[in-house]
Amino acid sequence: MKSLTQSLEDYLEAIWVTSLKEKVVRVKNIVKRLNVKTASVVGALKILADKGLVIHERYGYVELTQQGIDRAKKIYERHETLTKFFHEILGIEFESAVKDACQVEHYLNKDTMERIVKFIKFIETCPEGEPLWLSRFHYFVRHGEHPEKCCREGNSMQVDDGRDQVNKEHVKLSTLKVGQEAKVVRVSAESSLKRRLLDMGMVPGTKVRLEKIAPLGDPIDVIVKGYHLSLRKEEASAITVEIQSSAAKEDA
Amino acid sequence: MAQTIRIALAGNPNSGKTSVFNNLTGSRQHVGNWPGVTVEKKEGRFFYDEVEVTVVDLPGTYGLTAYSLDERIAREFLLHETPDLVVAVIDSSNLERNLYLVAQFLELGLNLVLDLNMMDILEARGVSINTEALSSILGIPVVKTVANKGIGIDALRKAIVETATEQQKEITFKIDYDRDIEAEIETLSELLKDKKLSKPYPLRWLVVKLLEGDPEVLDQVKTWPQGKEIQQRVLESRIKLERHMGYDLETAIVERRYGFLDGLVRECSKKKLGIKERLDVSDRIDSVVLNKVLGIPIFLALIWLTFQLVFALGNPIADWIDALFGWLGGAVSAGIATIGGPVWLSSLVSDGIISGVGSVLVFLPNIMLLFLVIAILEDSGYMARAAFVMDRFMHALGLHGKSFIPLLIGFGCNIPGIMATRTLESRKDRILTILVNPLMSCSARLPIYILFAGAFFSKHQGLVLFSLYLTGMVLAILIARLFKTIFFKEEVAPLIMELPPYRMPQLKGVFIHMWERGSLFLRKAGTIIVAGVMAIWLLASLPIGVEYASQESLIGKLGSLFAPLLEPAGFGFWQAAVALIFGILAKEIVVGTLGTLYGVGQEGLRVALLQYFTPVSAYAFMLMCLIYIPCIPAIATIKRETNWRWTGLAVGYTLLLGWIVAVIFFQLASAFV
Repeated sequence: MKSLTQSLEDYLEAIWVTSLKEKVVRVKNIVKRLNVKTASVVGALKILADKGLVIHERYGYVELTQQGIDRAKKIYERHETLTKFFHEILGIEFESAVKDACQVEHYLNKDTMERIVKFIKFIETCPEGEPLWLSRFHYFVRHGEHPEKCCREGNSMQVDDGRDQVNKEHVKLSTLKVGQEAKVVRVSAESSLKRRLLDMGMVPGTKVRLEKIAPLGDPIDVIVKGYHLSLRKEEASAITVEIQSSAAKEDA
Repeated sequence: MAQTIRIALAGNPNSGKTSVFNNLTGSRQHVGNWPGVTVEKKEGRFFYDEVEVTVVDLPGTYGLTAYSLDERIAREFLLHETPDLVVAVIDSSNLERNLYLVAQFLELGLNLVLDLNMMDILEARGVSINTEALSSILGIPVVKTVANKGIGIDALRKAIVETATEQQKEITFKIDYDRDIEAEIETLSELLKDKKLSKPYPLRWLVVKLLEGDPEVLDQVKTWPQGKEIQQRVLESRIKLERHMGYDLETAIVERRYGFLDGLVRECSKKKLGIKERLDVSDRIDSVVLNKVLGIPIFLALIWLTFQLVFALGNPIADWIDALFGWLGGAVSAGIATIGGPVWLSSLVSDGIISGVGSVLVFLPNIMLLFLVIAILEDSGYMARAAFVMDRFMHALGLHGKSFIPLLIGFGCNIPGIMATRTLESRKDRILTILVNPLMSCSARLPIYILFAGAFFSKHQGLVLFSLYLTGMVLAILIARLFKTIFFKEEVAPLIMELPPYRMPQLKGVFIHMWERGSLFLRKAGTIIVAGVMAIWLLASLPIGVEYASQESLIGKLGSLFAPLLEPAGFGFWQAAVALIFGILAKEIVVGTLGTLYGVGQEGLRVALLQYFTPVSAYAFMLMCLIYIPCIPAIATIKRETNWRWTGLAVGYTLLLGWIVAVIFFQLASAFV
């Protein structure tokens, strides 16, 4: 497959996208979409027709050949993928992501592109939803720091595996409703707080129950290992739990 | 053979450890502080079978990490002072979590006796414990007690003495941390085996602590020859294990420890303590006391009751003591005069010594009553609930839920207010609460406000009073936030607090508690108060021959010296300055001093004030009296509870703040009025 110039790729993509929306594609649709002069569009169409990608009669509709459709789809997918990468993973604003995707897409070589596609697929097909490290990264972007000091003095590594995946039932202890029961999944806080919570019995697998919320809304009273422990929501949010019962009878 | 042994009492907070201590030792107790810190250290003694046993009560802790002060004290003591025996007191109704600490004691290789306290609560729930099984698995003697009813104490004494005088058995106790961790423990143990340095720690304990990442042990190892190598090996083990297990090693180790205890409790108790089975009396009380609607009204009502008890009941007794010492001073000085003693001597005795001692004792009724109420609130389990209810509000001010009560008590008197901060665990919260406590306008300042407000704002007395109290509170909030950011920026004080089951406070325990803390005030703060009173007496009496507190006395000269500084605040005359200096003795003295200095009695004072003060400068003076330097007893108490540096800060900032606020008010108000 012969390579196309950046602008030709853009034209091809524009024709394809327009063809999905409109019954027929006219030159003026493309002019409008790409914000270029009619003459340029006509010129480009001629080259694309020469390459066997489009069929274009002068003053008539523009049609893509099968080859053209395949080609355009690839370009479009590549564009989408990059937009996704920029927007959903790196967290760039959607509009900037689209723009940058337009710019970058033409310069990446095939291997890089393929790897990015794989990367996105890896994340998208993750059975437990968005991986924890990714939400951590987004937190990091927003706040300029790690959500918890997970890298203790830099000599202990935070290891993520199945336990660290956030799925629908994994929530912070602070978000439980009164009467709800849950199981501790993990405690992630700076060392002294974490140790205190562990010592108090908040170890993985332990059953907890949110018993009460203080009249002013904070702290909370949790039953763990058969006793009442009160925590501020701030501290409780360091504890990830897996909801066991959603029945919150006492909750008003 | 007369033998002496030394034992330690250790256990979780709320395990009834204090009850056990009180019942073991009776009244033979001594209260001091642990070296260098203001954590209470209690020691007591008892005799059994001709053996004298000294009992050291360790701070109640949940673990033995190096992170909290209490835990460090306990750990240091157990590791370095090697008591002959440790009695682990546990709340049997909360077996698993209480045994967690015991497991750590066992890992430390301590000579232990296990005291299953509060057996009655457990039995009332229909749970029985197989003590033989527990004893044989842990390899230590187990005694059942109900300390607050005195049950089982003799058996405990017997077990203590017998175990301590026997040859210590080989420690067989070992928690199995699973194959992978055990393999690493083994390799590391090999590495550390011939290091004599590892003493006084048991080898296995040391290795486990290293793997847990205990900062203190890690630091210590760093200083050893080959420390770097050991550290490297530990790090490798840790990474290897974490990679294998998929989560961090510290969590894994604690989890295994609890896993072991879960099994132990299952095996040794008949009815497992499930989560739902605990809906007992305590929970029913809480459903009212911590109720969304009733929680705060109940809290406020209890505080009001505390206030009434401490002040309404205490103040008449305090007045009586005050009158007694006043009469005593008068009588003694009259007596000295009749036998022809010099005037300075009678003044020294009556104005110096007797009034000095009097000003210490005058606080005693309030303080004793306060500690009585606090002991009841604490022992019953309500104190934790009070913190639970108020924490949101106090946390917003940068303080702790438990700070509320000390601050509120400060409105009555700052001294018990400052002493009440003992209920706070975190150093940061304690110091902040102490530092801002003087801004709570105590009742001794009330006579000043009443005098000035009556003279200058007779139509708006209530409003003026209210504005002053409010100013104090607002300043307290601002200062607390300021000091928090300056001094405790890094320190986080999380709220992780057990809400213990409600219990009937034990009369004996409550009174012992009251007496300990009250007498501590007498002994420690008392000396500073008497010294302060003497110093002021000297200033007022020197040079020799001068009329007491006149303009020619040292204090009068000091007043003249400081008067120009007070000019921008609108009361730049020596009488005001001297009154303020005397006010450091006790704020209410300001009124009497002004009366004396203007040469009028209490009655003529209002008229006299009208000549010297304008309404604006009067208000500025009241602001000054509200904020400036805490009284000497308060200063002494702050010193008692902290150190000279914090005390200096408390004196310095209040003086500066008082002056600034008075000056700003006077200048602004003068410009507008």
